[in-house]
This record gives sequence, C-alpha cells and structure tokens, in this order.
Amino acid sequence: MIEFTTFIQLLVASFFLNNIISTYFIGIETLSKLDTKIESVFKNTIALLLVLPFVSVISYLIYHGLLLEMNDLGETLKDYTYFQTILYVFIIIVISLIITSLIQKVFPKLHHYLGSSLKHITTNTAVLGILLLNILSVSSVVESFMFAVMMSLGYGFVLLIITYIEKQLEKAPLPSNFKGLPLQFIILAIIALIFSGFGN
Amino acid sequence: MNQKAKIHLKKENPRVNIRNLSIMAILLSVLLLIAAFVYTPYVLLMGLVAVITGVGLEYAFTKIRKRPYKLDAGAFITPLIFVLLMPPQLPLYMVIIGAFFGVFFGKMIFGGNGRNIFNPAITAYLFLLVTFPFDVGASFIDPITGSIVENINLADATFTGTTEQLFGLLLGQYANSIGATFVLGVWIVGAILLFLKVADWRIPLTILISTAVFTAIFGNFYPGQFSNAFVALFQGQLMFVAFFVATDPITAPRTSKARIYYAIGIALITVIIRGLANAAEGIVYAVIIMNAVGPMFEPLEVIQEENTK
Repeated sequence: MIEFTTFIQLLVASFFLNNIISTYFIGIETLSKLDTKIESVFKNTIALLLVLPFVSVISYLIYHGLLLEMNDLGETLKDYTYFQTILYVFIIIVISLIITSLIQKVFPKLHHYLGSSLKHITTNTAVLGILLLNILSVSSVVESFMFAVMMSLGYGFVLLIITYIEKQLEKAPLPSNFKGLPLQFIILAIIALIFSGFGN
Repeated sequence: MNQKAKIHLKKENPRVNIRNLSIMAILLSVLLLIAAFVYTPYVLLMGLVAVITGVGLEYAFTKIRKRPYKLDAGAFITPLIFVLLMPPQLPLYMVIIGAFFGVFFGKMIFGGNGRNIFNPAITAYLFLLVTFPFDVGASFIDPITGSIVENINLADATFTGTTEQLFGLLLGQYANSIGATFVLGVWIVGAILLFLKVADWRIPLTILISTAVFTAIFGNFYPGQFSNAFVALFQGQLMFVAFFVATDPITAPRTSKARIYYAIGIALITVIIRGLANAAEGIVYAVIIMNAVGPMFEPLEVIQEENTK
C-alpha cells in the first residue's frame, strides 16, 4: 500500500507541480472545445477517470513486462522501447472501446449522462501524455494507478478553473484582439506561473 | 438567489467603489511613507516609478482602444501594492517591468479595472520572481545594519520566537519586503481599513485564526518544520497580505460565506507552502490560487451578474 506522505506528495505534484495542462501544456486542445458549462468539465473528468487508470496499469505492465524484457533477448536488436507510442495508442483505443460498451450495458444511465465525452477520450492528447509521463515517473503498479487517477483529477481541476474564469468574463468589456483563444492562453500562462512557483 | 437579494448584494458589495478605492490608495501610500523611514527614501522613488508606469499604461491602453479615460484611485492601487511586496532595493528598471506586466497582463486585457480575475500586483510579483529570482527573492535589507541579507525573517534560522524577538518583529527590525516589515504599522493602518469598512473584516480575521490553527495541526504531524502557531502570525508577509491584498473587493468572492471559505483556503495553502515546499513565504501564492478557486464557492448568478458601477 502506498504511504501517506507519498500520497500527499503525489496529490500536490499532480494538482500543482506537474499538472498535465499547466506544466506540460498537454491536452490544451480541450480549451478550444470548452463550452463554459461546468457540467461538461465533470463529464470529461469522469470519462478520463473511467478509462485512464486501467490503460495506465496495462501499459505499465506491457512496458515493463514486454518491451524492457525483449531488450535483453537478442544481441543484434537492442532497444524496443520506441514501440511504446504506437502500442499505447492501440491500448487506449481498445480499452476505451471495451469500457464504453461495458458501461453501456451495465450502467446505461451513466452512459447517457456522459454522452459524447467517452468517445472524445481517444482523441484527447492528455491521455497519451499522461501515459508517457507515467512510465517515466512511477515504480509500481499501484503507483501507476494512483498517478493516473491524480493526474486526471489535476486535469479536471485546471479545466474547472478556466471554465469558471470564462464564466466571469462572459460580460466583461474585453479588448477585441484578445477575445477567445488568446486570452485563454494568457490565463493558462498565468496559472502556469502560479503553479510553477511552488517548485523553486 | 432571488432578485431582491441580488440587488442587496450589488448595493452592499459593489466591485468598484470610488470612496473605498481612494481610502485604500491613501492608506497604502501611508504604508509606503512608513517604509521610507524604516529603510531609505529610495522606496518612495520605487513607488513613484511604479505608479507612473501603471497609470501611463492604463491611459495609453484606453486611448488605443478609443474609449474615454477617467482617472480614479483604482489605477494607483495595483502599482502601490506591487511595490509594497518588493524587497527594498530593487533596481528601477525591474520596477518598471513588473508594473507593466502586472497592469497589462493582470488587469487591462481582462477589460480594465474591476474585471481582473487574478490580483494584478501578485501576478507582477510572481512574474518578477521567475524572471529575476535573485534580485526579487533573495536580496533583502536588514533594517538595523543596512546590510544585504538573503532571507526574510521567516526563513531566518536564528529566529526562535522569544518575546524580545517578537517585539523586534513588531517594530520592524527584521528583513522583509517593503510593506510587511513594520508589523505594528500594518496593524494600525489595517485597523483603520477595517474601521472605515473599506475591507471586509471576515477575510483577515479568518486568515489569521485559521493560519494559527493549521500551523498547530501541521506542527503536530511534522515536528520541527513549522514554527510556533502564535509566532507564525507575525512572520513573513502574512499580516500585510491578509489586510491589504486578500481583501481586494475585485478578486475576492462577493458573498460572506464564500469569503470565509476563501480565507480558510488561503490559510491552508499558506501553511502547507511554508512548511513543506521549498518557497519561504506562501501567502502570495495562496491568495492568487484562491483568486482562481474562490468563484467556485459562489452561486452561479453572482458570478455571471453584470456589474458596471
């Protein structure tokens, strides 16, 4: 079982220090699709939480059980880890399809609530980004599971902040040149500035 | 929330209130004047440069957008708070860069005064801290000897919290940022602020009480990493920020309940950063994080409500 201090460190890291959006700027294409509905942020995050932990555990097992093992087999071919990206994409598609159809059968109400956000999981770059980071920074299956859960929550946290800011700015007299995406990126930059301060 | 409550809220807590802004600007200038006696009159020059930069930029930006410009006290507050958060011997070009960044990216692009989401002074402070880490974060002046020291009193290892040291802290004998050095002065000016009802008393009071409580709780779990709960209130920039920056009516939430949660959040993040992170002082980060998180405690109607006055 994971220790309490590790848990707190993981929590702070995934929410502030290594936040997938504000530190790595991965998954920001979701910003352009935001429709200033708080509900849609929850839908996105729940969909991510349903898929990502399983994908991350399986990809961890494949990376350590298959790719790294194959490295030691032959003399001529050394490194197979470059296969990881294509393998992860494959895993993401398969697992998200399986989970979607499972939810459709077992929890039809949840499936109805989530709507199209489950489909968008496969095109969300945050998923692949979290998987690639995951491999670099965890050392056990449990940690990999926790890392995925926390990173998804951190992703939802920043999206929620930006959605609330968008709501506040709905009626503001914004300069026309900055309206829309430019302002979103500046807000994101300020959030990144805030969160980065923890580290130094 | 019904219509009547909405109107009441609008009347009670308007985001931009010229009287309050003017009083605030005057009190901040008083703090700067006090700091000129604690340190050197150079801090007055810093304040002047920052104010000229801020007001000039606001004027220019409004003119470029072809809108009527009306000078009010709000334009002075951001540069003044920004200077009061700075160490006392910052080169003037850094002051100009900071004030420019704060007013432009913190305030103007959100639509001007009364519309900003993040506190512009803190935005400027964080930007300078990232850009010039040594000059802003690690070159303070000891008020008594006048020599340059690396740390503010919070990170000073010799500070153990005896009565003598506490009085020294109150009278501004330990290195700190310009506004926060003379704690007694911050108290007096802050009391005037609360007495004139410029700021909501709930925010500073809740911040101070919960900081003490959280410091005591965390100190139990991690012995040796946190200072005494009572001493923690006097250290760092806590007093100054709690009275003058966190109470900013524009970036703080508007309903009383949300303000209490906002203040508790500030205290919690402050204590966590002080004890467990690398940064010495956490309240600046805490305030700007809660600026972003604060609206989540409010009813949606309050957030979306249009407010021009």
